[in-house]
Amino acid sequence: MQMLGFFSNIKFVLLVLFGSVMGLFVGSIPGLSVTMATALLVSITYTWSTSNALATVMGLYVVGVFSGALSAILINIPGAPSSVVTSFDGYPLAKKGESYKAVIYATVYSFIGSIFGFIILWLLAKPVSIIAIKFHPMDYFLLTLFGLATVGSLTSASFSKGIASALLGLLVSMIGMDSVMGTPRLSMGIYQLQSGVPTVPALVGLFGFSEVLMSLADKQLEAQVSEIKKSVIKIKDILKHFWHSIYYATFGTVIGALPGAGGPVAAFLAYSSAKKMVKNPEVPFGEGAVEGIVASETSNNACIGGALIPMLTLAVPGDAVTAVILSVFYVHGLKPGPMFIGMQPDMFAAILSGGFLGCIFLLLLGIFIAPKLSRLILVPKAVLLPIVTVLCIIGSFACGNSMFDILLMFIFGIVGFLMRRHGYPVAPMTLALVLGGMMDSNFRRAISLAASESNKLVSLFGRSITLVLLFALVATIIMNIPRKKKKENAKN
Amino acid sequence: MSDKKIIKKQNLTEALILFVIGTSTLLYSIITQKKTNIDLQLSPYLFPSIIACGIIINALVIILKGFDVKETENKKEKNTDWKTILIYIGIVIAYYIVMPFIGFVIANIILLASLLFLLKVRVWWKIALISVLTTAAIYFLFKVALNVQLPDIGLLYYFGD
Repeated sequence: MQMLGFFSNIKFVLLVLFGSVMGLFVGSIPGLSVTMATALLVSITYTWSTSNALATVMGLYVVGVFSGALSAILINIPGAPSSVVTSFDGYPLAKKGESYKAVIYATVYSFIGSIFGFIILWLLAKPVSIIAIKFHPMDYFLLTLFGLATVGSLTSASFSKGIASALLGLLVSMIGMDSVMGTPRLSMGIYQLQSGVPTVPALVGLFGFSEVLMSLADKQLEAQVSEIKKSVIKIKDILKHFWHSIYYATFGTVIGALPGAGGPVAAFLAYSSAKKMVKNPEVPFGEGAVEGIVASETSNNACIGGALIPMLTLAVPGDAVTAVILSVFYVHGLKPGPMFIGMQPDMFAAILSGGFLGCIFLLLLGIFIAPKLSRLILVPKAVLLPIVTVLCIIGSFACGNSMFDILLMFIFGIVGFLMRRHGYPVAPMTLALVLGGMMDSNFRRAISLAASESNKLVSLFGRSITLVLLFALVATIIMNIPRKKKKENAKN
Repeated sequence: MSDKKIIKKQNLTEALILFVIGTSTLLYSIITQKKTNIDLQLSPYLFPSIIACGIIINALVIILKGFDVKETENKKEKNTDWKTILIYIGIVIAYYIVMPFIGFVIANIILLASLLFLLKVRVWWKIALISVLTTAAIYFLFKVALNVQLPDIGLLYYFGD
């Protein structure tokens, strides 16, 4: 009933729409992140009523996560880490002149994923959080390691090069203040690095600036796609992947509910399983398979509902955006935790209403407005590359207001360019950069806890959840190595 | 030199770079760890050491795998336009250095004009129009509409104080 009250409140609906439009804009521009925009909203909305602030934030969050796919599809620069996987098939489709199709598939399945996530949040908030709270630090560690191991199956050239990229990303993520002891490490005496390598400039460099340099290197200065046709896409064709999408959405919601493991992990894992599930895609994966877009977009948007579960019930954010949303709660005097839903059902209803309305606006904006953004791809590269360079500069500066971040962006851009030029994928490095800190702290916590036990091995791995994750990790590695060898033999 | 030899040499170089990164990180971590009185399981250098070992092993795998000769296509330098790339990076670095002195707006217009010229846009009014309009649009959009801080800052901040 409370939700119906919010649905019929015109001001509330318009604020969700405002947030959604902002999300579409912010998410589709490379270098501008939903996290950054949400952080800006904290300062803008702190004088507003809590429900109005939540309406705007939810609109921005839902549509912002989706619109990261637009730049991934149109210019191969993911708007967010969770959209990295969308670019694997979205960009090849766009290069074939089918960006409209890619955008529509991304829209519909983002909508399905988001709706699914919010329904799960609504129905299962408590049971899922009970499972998540039972996770041991070693389980978190194994889960993230599992995420990184699956990246190996996504690299097209060489498994060892994918792992090398992930390891280098992990090493970079170790730079800065140690989260357990609070001591600086590997900062090489550079004081700006004492707080760590900021993720946004690194991502903008790896995906934005390196893409600019790649285009220059390949002399691709002419527009790569001759024309974009607004083709007729049958609803029957779109919904052909519905049942698969429910699987990916379930996957995404569960991954989203695990603190720290958000959209990027869910998208990578869903894509990996899609490659195994869909035996005969119309187009091979990595060359424009809509199945890849379906897997990535459904799962990363389903993470939204999932990520809100631990945030609302445990006050543990599921990802970076929910960490910022948590600060919105604190600014407005709300206290998320086990008592939150019982004590403040109106605010829980505001979040759900904002989320569901955000999903509807996602669908409308995605179908009617987003395809018009695809005109970007027709801009000649000679004009687009300088503009993207400037956006990279602004995007890397805006989060920390630091010139050093721009320098970092350039460095990561050049490193990313050299890596890609030599067959090293940058996606594993991205994932490792985001997850490295969590892996480190959980690994050391697990080791410390086991140190005081008589049987250390049982303490580390003696739980059913841990064993399942360990089995999944080992199976992923074993299954991928022979498959790669087989592929190599076939090619040779 | 044959393609195969070039590939082997490039793979060896890459593996050596990885090996140097891994070894130096491992040595640095071990030395720094010894200086602290923190238990190994709590040490901030435990995980970096494990990663470093992983990098070293991976470098050895790349060497031992027989240099992955199948990647011939990836390895070939496809007529890379290094001159344009280096000039592009040079212009961007010059922008980074000069911007705190002349401000974001002017620096941005000059940057865009220089890059457009480098990328063979030769119609002067197009260069002027794109540079000025893009800068104006970015300024309005970010500074005015979104209230995002632009890198238009004082020299003191630039030099770290």
